[in-house]
Amino acid sequence: MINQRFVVSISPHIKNGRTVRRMIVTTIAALAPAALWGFYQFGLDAVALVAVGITAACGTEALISRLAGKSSSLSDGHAVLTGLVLALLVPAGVPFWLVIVGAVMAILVGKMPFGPLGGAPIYPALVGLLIVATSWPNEIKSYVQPTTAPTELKVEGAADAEFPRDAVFIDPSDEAEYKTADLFMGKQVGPIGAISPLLLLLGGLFLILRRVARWQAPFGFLVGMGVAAGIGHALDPGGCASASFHLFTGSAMFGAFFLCTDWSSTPVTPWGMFLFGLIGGGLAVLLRIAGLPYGAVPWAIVIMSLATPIFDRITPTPFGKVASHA
Amino acid sequence: MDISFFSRGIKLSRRVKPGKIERIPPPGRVVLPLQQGSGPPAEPSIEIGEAVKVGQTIARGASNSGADLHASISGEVTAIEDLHFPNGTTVKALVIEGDGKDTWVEPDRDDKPLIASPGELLERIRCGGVIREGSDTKSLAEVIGEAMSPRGYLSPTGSAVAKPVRHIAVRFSDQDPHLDALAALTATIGDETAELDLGVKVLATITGAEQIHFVLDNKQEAPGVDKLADDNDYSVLHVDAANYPCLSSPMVARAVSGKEPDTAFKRVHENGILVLDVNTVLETALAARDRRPVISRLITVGSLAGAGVFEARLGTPLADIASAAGQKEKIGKVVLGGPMKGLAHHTLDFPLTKEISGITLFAQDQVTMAVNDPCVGCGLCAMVCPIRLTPGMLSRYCEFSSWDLAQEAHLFSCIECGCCAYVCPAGRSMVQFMVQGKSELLSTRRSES
Ligand code: SF4
Ligand code: SF4
Repeated sequence: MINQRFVVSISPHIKNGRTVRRMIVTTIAALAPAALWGFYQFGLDAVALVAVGITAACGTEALISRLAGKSSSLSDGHAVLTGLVLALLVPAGVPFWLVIVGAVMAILVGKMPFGPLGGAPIYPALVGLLIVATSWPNEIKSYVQPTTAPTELKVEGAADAEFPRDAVFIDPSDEAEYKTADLFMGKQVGPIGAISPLLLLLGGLFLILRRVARWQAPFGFLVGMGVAAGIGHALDPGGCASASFHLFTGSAMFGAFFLCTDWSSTPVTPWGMFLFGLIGGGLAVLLRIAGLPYGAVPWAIVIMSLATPIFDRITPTPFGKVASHA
Repeated sequence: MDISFFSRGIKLSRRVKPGKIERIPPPGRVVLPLQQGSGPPAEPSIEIGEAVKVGQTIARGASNSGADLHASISGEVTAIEDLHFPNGTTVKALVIEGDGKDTWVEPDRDDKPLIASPGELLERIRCGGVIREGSDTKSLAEVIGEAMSPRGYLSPTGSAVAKPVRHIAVRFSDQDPHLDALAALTATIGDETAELDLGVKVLATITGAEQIHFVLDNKQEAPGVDKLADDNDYSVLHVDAANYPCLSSPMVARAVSGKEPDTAFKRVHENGILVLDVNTVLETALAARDRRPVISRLITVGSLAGAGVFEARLGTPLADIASAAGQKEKIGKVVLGGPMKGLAHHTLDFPLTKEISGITLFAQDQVTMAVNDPCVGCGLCAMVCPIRLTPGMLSRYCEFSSWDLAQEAHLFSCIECGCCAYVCPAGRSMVQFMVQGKSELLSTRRSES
């Protein structure tokens, strides 16, 4: 044994075995129930769109890595996640090419220019989504009638509905007819993966329990939306739907648990995360009321992401330091 | 307000019942580095060829507070040789060839040590070669001497620079949950608390500490210790030691005083709180009463599969200890200390020294290699950092040599606990970045001044 040479490295000498890949796989698993519900509600079209989105994202990433002469990063699963999230955020009736363009853009513009994973200042899937949503504002609103939904849900006229504009298509005067419970259980029209607040909530809690995401940003986001919508509704019930309606429709839940908890595009400090979510939630309601054509929640989160470096400056006072010096 | 509930520190597994302490017989040859713990090396006080007995002083501590070094076996000093330390330095070491008789020096017992003056007690601690195990491994006499002498806390201008010790906290469990030597020691103390009692009183006499705290793991049962605390009005505190690093000195200091000490730059005692391991206290008692020096060390020998607690003479080759512990698999990595904070060494051909609190052996297939991928910004590290830093940011500053930004972000407050590296999914060598950043900043500061 004498003079045998051993490995030398800095402490700690054990790790909890967590890898980037495992965390992404967990995220995908957390999204799965909501995606499956979307498949059930919207049928094979939805399945095909998701498959196309994932394929396009992976293909683009592989191609660019190859052109840039870098080793492929496909194995960490991030391209799969990007394609999946993008496809889950569009309605089931959009043409295939729209999802392909979105996925290519997400990787080409949103991810690759910023180097390795962790560089992107904005969630890549949102970059792709907003590029296609802005370029083809009518195609993006190809909502489809879900399999189980209250009969009075009207898909017709989605394009010129009043609010909330990012996904739902109903008349404000109809609001009373929609049962909050139906909305919560996922009996509504919207983007493929975002119609079931219940399953998204469960997926989000799973992420938080597995310590892949922190609770502060989603909590802040939901509080922000709820408070902003509550105030708006109290001031002008005709112009702003109630808080529960805002929270359970569109991509609100999806945004809170899966977009506000991204890594590089959101803050990492406790108060930074909370305020990021809080302001983002308020902004999303504001954008909905102000009449953004599509994607108030994604837009709100993208805008907040640009301010992430500022939120990251809200660091806690380190151990043993006096608050005023922090 | 702190809204990071449920998230600081990490959970590590911990064995509930520590094993028995096994004694490893004195080896035939020992190598005793003149440097034991941090601080300057001691000066040899014997000649090569001289015969020595167990406990005989063979080197005198540097300056007037450095710990002495003693022969750990009886025999003949045969050489002074160079020894490479895991931290890269080379230190002179005395070699003793044993005569196999294990004869001790004449005991010089003082039955009433508490009557002695604090200065005398301090000198006995220094002569006993006691170092402050488990934290900065400085000579204990140096640490508490500073609290005693007026120079220690009055700068030339007369303003206080360091507070005297007001609390002493004694740790009865190792900081690293994978080590259990202290828990095993506590279990063997049982009701024989005379030495513990004496050690605490000696320390309190020297430092003038008003309050003594015993800090135990919440799974530990030590009725003797509880009774001692009860009789003397010491406070007993139970913490969840599996929640690493809650037994590190700053965390213990917070637990006993309710105030957080500043962790920037290693301090001698934090907020007037001196945190000591229980074995240091027992060594203090022996040095003060029996004038018995430190010649052996209690260590945990662990592999990820399990652990055992051993007592071995200083200078015993680590290879002997590892084989006594029955290590059979092919060893891939040797860590001096626990897996969270220990120092890796490239060989087992190294003697046991006072600062080694354990040996952790990893089989070849258990060795994890650092990946050091770029930070993905997941924020897990910020969630676990007990010092509430943003380690991901700090590591990026250090990675890209933005030393000043790192300093502004409180790099020096980092206690190098390794929690951030433990959780980092990108496999970054976080502690490496922190240590590198600190040494860069310190060396520029030195070259500027
Ligand atoms: S090593 Fe430093 S930065 Fe990392 S968790 Fe520990 S104190 Fe925080
Ligand atoms: S845990 Fe690692 S990857 Fe995550 S933010 Fe910290 S340093 Fe970056």
